[in-house]
Amino acid sequence: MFLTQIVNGKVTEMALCEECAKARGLFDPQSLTFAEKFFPQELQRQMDKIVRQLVQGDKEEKRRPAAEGCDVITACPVCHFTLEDYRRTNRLGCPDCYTFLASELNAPYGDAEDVETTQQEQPLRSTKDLEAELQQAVEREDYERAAVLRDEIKALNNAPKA
Amino acid sequence: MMKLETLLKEPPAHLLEAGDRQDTLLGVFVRTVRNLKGHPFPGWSTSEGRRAVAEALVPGLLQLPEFKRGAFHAEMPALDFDTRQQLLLYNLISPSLAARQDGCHIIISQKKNAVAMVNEEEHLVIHRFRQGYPPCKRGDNLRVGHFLESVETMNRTMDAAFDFAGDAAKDHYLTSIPSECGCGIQIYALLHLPALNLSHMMGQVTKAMEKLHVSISPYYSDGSDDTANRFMLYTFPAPGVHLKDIQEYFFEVVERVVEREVGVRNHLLHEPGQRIFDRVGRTYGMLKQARRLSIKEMRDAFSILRLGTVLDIIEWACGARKFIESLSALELELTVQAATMEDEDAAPLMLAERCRAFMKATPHVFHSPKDSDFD
Ligand SMILES: [Zn+2]
Ligand SMILES: [Zn+2]
Repeated sequence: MFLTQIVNGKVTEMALCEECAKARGLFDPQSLTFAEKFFPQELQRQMDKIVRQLVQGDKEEKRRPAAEGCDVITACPVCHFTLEDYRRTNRLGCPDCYTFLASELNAPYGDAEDVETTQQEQPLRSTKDLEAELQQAVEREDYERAAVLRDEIKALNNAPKA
Repeated sequence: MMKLETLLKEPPAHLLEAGDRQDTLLGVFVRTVRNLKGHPFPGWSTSEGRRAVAEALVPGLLQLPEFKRGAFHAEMPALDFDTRQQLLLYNLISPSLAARQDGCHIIISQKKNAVAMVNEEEHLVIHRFRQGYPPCKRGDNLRVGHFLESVETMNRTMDAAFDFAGDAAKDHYLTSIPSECGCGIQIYALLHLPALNLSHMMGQVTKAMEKLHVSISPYYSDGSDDTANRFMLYTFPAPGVHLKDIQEYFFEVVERVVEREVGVRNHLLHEPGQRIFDRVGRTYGMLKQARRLSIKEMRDAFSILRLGTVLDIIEWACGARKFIESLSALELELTVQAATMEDEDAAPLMLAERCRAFMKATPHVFHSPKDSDFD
């Protein structure tokens, strides 16, 4: 996802992966035009924060032992917000996230044990789940996410059956 | 329904009043936050999702006594940039809503003392402003109490009308940020603290506030250092904490900050270096003669003039209260005009010209420091 940013008259282009695009309050292109005009400094600050979080998130990812389990994300069945989204934004997707993502909310962030428990409790996502999420992504016009899901589904379908 | 022109013609009355407690306490407002069950939060929803939330909320909101008659209502795409800018300056919209579009709505009461924002950072955010600021003695928050009661009445009416996420009976509401769940209410006090700021004591105050669990921030949220000596003290919601529990404690803290400011002012008034007399005199001279002024310079200068007025360093023929009210009105008018001018370079000239004219047309006398003050 490319984001054209105009801060103090300077045009900056940033490349962002689909994960970051989820911080919609900021990346909603409609709201961005207005945000730029009103609060250039504030926007810059938020951008810096997100970039910082991304860098930290990458490190976090590498430190986690169960790399293959990492993509298995606990998601809210109502709004499809994931734990990963919560870790990045410190926000939730909908009131039901409080029920479905409860374990993470009560645990301090970065607790490795808890991450593992959460992962073990989660079954691997099926093609059906992925397709449902793909449908959701298309509905909310999140094409970046949709593209990733499409590839995941393709990979699953091509994988040798166990 | 109120028309847009009518809404923008005059600023809200409470923004024009001189502050209470020697012009330190400029106003109080309350922010109520609610979300609907079963809908994604605005930061994670599509236009369709936001529209569904608006459909569920707007008709009911327009039935509330505060909005039933003569309110202004619009969906955000109907408001252009200049209008949003002006609403921001009138404190009638939050910065988050000002930046939003489809499915996001704003409803402003006829008296401009209540604003409902749909799909701000949460599904529903309501700001209520206190109108009228009679002098209150220490510990006497009776009038503030009435105001807070009317807010609670409104909130209870809403709790009965909508299916909000959380548990209304336990006064616990869910928000998009887990750490901000709680009673869904924050109280804000807008303070004018020129003496503390000029004496570089705001750092101290901020540290003290941290210990007291009261937040403080500059009033203008655009990220610049343009404070015009205005600050907000506010509470944060916490699980199990009710408005009644917070309010007394909060106003006690506000009172302490006000006392501190008044104490520093008295010190400045009697300090042999005469710095405050110098500052007020120079500020007047600048406004009287400047050819170019930025909004920041104008706001800062007006703040110092207000201080000089309250300390009786300058006495205005029209009286202190009347002068402060005219100055507030001028400040708002000029800020809006400068912010919405097509030719940005013309703004500093316009601001200076209007200020010169105002100073010329406002009779006054300067008072010197009294000899007896220097003991
Ligand atoms: Zn990314
Ligand atoms: Zn959810």
